[in-house]
Amino acid sequence: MSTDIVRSAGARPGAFDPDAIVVTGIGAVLPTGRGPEALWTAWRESRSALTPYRDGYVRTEKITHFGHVPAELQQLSRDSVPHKLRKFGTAFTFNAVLAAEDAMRQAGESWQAIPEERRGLYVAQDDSTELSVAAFHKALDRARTDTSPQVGADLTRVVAEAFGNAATFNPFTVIRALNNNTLALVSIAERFRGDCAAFVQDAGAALGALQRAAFSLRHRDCDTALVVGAGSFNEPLKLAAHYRAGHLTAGAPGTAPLRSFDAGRDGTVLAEGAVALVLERAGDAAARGARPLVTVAGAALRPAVDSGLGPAALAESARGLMAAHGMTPDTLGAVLADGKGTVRHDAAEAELLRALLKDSGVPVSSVRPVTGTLGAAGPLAELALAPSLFAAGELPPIAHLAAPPDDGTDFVTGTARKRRIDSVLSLHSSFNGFAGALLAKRPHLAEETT
Amino acid sequence: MSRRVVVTGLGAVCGLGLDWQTVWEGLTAGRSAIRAWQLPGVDDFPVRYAAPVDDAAFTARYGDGGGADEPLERRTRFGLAAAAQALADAGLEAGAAGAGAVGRIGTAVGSGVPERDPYELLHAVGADGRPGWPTLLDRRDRLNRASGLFCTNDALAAGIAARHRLRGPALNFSTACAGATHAIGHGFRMIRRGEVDAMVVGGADSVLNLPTMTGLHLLGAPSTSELFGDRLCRAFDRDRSGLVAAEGAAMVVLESEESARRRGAPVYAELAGFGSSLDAYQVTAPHPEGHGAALAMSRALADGGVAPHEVDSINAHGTSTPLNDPIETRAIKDVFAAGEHYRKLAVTANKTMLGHLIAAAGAPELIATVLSVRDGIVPPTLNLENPDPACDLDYVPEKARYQEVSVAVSNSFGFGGLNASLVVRGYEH
Repeated sequence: MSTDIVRSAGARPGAFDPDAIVVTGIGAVLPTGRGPEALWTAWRESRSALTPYRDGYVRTEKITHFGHVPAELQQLSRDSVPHKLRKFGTAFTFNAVLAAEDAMRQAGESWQAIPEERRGLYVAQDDSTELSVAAFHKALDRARTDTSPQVGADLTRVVAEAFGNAATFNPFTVIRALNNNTLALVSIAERFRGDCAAFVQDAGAALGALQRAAFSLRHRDCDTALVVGAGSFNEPLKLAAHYRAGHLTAGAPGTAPLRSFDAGRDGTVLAEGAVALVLERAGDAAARGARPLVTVAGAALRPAVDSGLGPAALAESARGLMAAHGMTPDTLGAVLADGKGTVRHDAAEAELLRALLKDSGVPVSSVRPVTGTLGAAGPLAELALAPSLFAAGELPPIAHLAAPPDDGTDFVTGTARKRRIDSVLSLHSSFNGFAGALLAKRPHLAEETT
Repeated sequence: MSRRVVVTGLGAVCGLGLDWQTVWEGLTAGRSAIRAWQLPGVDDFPVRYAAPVDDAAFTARYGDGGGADEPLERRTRFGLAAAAQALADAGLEAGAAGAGAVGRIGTAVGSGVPERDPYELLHAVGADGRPGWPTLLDRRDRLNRASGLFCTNDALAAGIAARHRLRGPALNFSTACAGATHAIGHGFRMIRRGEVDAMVVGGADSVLNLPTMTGLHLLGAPSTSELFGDRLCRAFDRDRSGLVAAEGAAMVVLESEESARRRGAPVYAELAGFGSSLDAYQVTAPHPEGHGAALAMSRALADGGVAPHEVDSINAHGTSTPLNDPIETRAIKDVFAAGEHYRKLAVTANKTMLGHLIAAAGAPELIATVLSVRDGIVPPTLNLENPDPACDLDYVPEKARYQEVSVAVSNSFGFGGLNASLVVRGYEH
């Protein structure tokens, strides 16, 4: 049984369900650029957005690649935030605000008529925060570099000077460090005053946010829900931790940095970005003439307690999720695997795919080689791709996959797979032992069943 | 499906005690955990009072938090201890006779800012004053394994689920000072609507480290006054000057009524309603008219099917900051305006004794609210010697009051304008 299934009881399969939860607006600020179309195009062209790692404050040869949001897009994000709010935010919360604006714009003008008190906001944010080595360095930098020879000799004095002097330390650092920073900034910038929640648990945060948003919509705790996933792994201690854990690619010259499921894979590439989705009840969307882009059928999220049980437990969750919608694995249109590119994660996921799909013949792809590992925004990015999959009727290949596992799973390599796609199951795992699945379906339009 | 949700287990670790019984006894006796305090290694830090957990006593009682393979952050140790307490109190610890009678149990916790050790940060700074990977690598043996590098913000939720083999959802909420209350409220909803049968919910936090305390200090949040000694937390008093930070954790076991009755579990009270809202006003200040706070309270009452005139007591957010207390007062007066019912409310501020547990704050305050309903005692608001004219409710000053409490509300409001309220009702079959 999945841990949480979002569904509408009593709806006839195939019929328009006014209580179904649909997405009517999508915004994305990712390494691939702005909007879901940029993500889709990069995926179709197998064009990786992963670039050499760069940071104004950190030197490293160990972190070879990163999924950076392009600088000009990052500037656009910053410009989208009201000036008075900028001092409270971080680069990735600015990305969240721009993604939210784009999603709300796509949801249409009539969406604006929904009262602010009835707009729910559910946020997934990464663990990385402003309270980091980089922030500390900035403080030291401003304090004076003449303290640097003291580093390691008189730490207390240096720390006291750097932290104790308001003139050298950004007074809003703790606000930037709060993991609800995205929730606060988006709510203020975009006027959300309704029900809310914010989660921090890697990719699982987005599944939690989607679950709670759908739940609140279904139970009338709000009339629209904005789900935002945002973050960045570009925080030195986090990068160091992932390097030490052996998660990161060595980025050997001449090879693609992230090779999901490939026999030659050697690690993932961490990334940053934001995705925002406007969710509504299908009946409400139809009533205001909004076009539903995708139906959020449900999500499952399992904690670390299941790690000892192996992939069978998540396979059971995913099957339960599908069964709740009258589906079996062989009726899926496509599976989007996580495909982090680490030896261990991909091996476990390949086992999961075997257990879940068996001989179903459902094609499996992954967008990870294009975007990198996105953290909190990851599952929402996959959901953002669903409308393009439905419309195009093709599943792009896993970029750079030359030697897939020979285990019966149909990994899409080389060229896109042409087929009608009405449903997509995406799989997700976090570095902290949470694993989950998300089921999206082609939306039924009200007029189709009248 | 709409099920009644009851509280069947309690657990707490904070400056006032290492179990819920001691904490409740302290609260009703008007005992404060706030004391003179210094940041380790910094003798002139301007914030001089806090409500820390007694490390030696905690370790003597709970060890390192329960036999973890890796060192843990302080908040995680506190949280694991509180969760274990609550599950044992509910008779749901592993191997307990009734544990198997409950279906799916999940967990939802509120967490705050990761505990960064500033010395660890300095390990990354090289002789040129710039942080660099080679420097960090060279000094890797000096890194504190219980900080930053090895701990993620969701470690407590994952740890509770893993240690207690919980099969339901495990969620980590992060909504600043409203974090624990949001976690409790969403956990409540999940049981009520049949997603799960029981939840271990609450929060854990420790901000008593240099980076976070510095950040809070530079925002002007903690009081730096030395005028009142350990009577510094003065919610609703005209001389209040800021919050007094604390650390600790509290957890409660929420359970569907059917599940509790089926296994014959003692019930402390019913959790009847939850409301949340956003101010959408400012990051560092609440809405001046308390719109968001009032909205959260109103929603919680409506959610619980409770009319304002049925409420007897409010466990206020009551931070002792210049802004919160009069604005919360205004919001209470707004919600309970009909018949001037606000004049009949017993309003208490537990933070005057517990200090402000930041992301965890709502959890011990919910426990106090639950026990207030069960025992018919409203804990006092300490140090309320000269009420602010803008704070003109009955705040139960100085001494606990014995009175029947049928319905009570517990408030939590966070940085960024995030609000959450819970409604607790006496339990009757």
